[in-house]
Amino acid sequence: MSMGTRKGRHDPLKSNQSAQLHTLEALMALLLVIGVIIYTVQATSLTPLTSSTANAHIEAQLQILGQDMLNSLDHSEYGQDSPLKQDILNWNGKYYTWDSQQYRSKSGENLTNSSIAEVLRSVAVGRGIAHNVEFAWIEEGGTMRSMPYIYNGEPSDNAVVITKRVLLSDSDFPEMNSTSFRQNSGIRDADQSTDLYNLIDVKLTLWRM
Amino acid sequence: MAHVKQKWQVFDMKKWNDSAQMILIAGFAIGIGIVVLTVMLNNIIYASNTASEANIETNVFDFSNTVKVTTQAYEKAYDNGSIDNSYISNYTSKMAMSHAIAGFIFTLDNDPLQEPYFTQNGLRSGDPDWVVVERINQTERLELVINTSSLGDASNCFVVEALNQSGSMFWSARIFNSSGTHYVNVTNSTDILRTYDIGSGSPSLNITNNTPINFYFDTPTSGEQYRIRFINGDNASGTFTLSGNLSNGQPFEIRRYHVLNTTMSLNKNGHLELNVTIPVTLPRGQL
Repeated sequence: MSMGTRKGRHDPLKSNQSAQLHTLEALMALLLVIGVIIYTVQATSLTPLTSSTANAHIEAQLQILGQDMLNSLDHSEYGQDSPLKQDILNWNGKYYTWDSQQYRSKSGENLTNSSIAEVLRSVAVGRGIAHNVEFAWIEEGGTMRSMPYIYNGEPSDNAVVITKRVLLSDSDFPEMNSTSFRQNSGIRDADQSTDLYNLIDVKLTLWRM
Repeated sequence: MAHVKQKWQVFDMKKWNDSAQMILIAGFAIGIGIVVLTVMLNNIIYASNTASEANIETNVFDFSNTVKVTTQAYEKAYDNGSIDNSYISNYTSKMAMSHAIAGFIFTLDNDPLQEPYFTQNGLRSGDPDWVVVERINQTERLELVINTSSLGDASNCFVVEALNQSGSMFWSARIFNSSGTHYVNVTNSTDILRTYDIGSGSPSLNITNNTPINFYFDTPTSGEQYRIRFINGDNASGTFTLSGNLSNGQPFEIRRYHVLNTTMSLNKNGHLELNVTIPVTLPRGQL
């Protein structure tokens, strides 16, 4: 009896080993579940921080900003010419660069009486948004030609371009004389037999430095 | 008995070991599954957000710009009651070339000129009740030429009225057909000041010049800031001219002699991006 009892006696060490293994397994499972929960919670905040998402968001903002600026410039009140059209008609063919105080041409001439410059100064310059403005038109041979009106350097890869079309007619010029305008800007009369002068694409390029 | 008991206990522990390992493996599988699903869901959300942010809908601005420039082209091409087709043809050519660079095919077509109604867009189906000009300081010229064959009866008369800043009418001219005779009733806010038989055909009513009758317009509008409104404009067709100065000092002028329907379309990659028919009142039928 005693031999059987001695042989059949419960071995506490073996039981402890099994219990420890079970505990270890439970701990590993718990760690695994907690790790998964933490990863799941953290994962949703990762995507907005990637650089490509930030770029797309900035481009979208610039697109809307540029569209709003050109829309406001192209608005004509009470049958008058829009500020955008007036700036084109008053253009002397030169391009201007922002020198941290005003828009100045290569020859030192300041850009005055320009609604485009006023809007860009108050909106883009204040926000540190680099900008170019170009006037483009179709030449006689069907090729597109563009000239800068405001030039502040080559745009970066994430630049956005917003375009507005403006119609010029012979009757828009004072006394219907477009000679000086043609000589200064290089924009020719596309149709001398009618009142149509030309169709100008105003291209506004915005980018963040 | 103790030996059998021990063996049974050992067997039970082995069974529990297997179960524990199965549970652990199941835990691993569930964890990996959750991770994979989360990563896939994040990728889907990220891709859709990037796609929607990167593709801001700018076509609507391009289309509205096209409509506006085309309207201006027709206003410039209008000359003495007709359209200069050479102007429109050259304009269409320039627009087609300009749009072609962006991959669009631009086409433009128009219907013949027709007599406008006094609705907002000049068509009979347009809004019959509308404010022509607001914040008027002074009216230099208000002249209407009415086609009496289109006039409604007294209960649906065409009305030209002036309203003050609080929206109260203080002057009106009511033009209607009463059993084949065509009248204009000039009223203030309370009384009929004058009733006049304007005749048939296309009589001209120059309200500011008091021709052919005194319209009593100058005195009540002097020194007042007001707006001019048309009511039941679909019950009268004809032309009108309205010019003057606004309260901010800016001049204004509206001349509506004709209306035409113009159809423009923009096609890209075989997909019709824009196909719209809009009425254009000429030579400058709306502010």
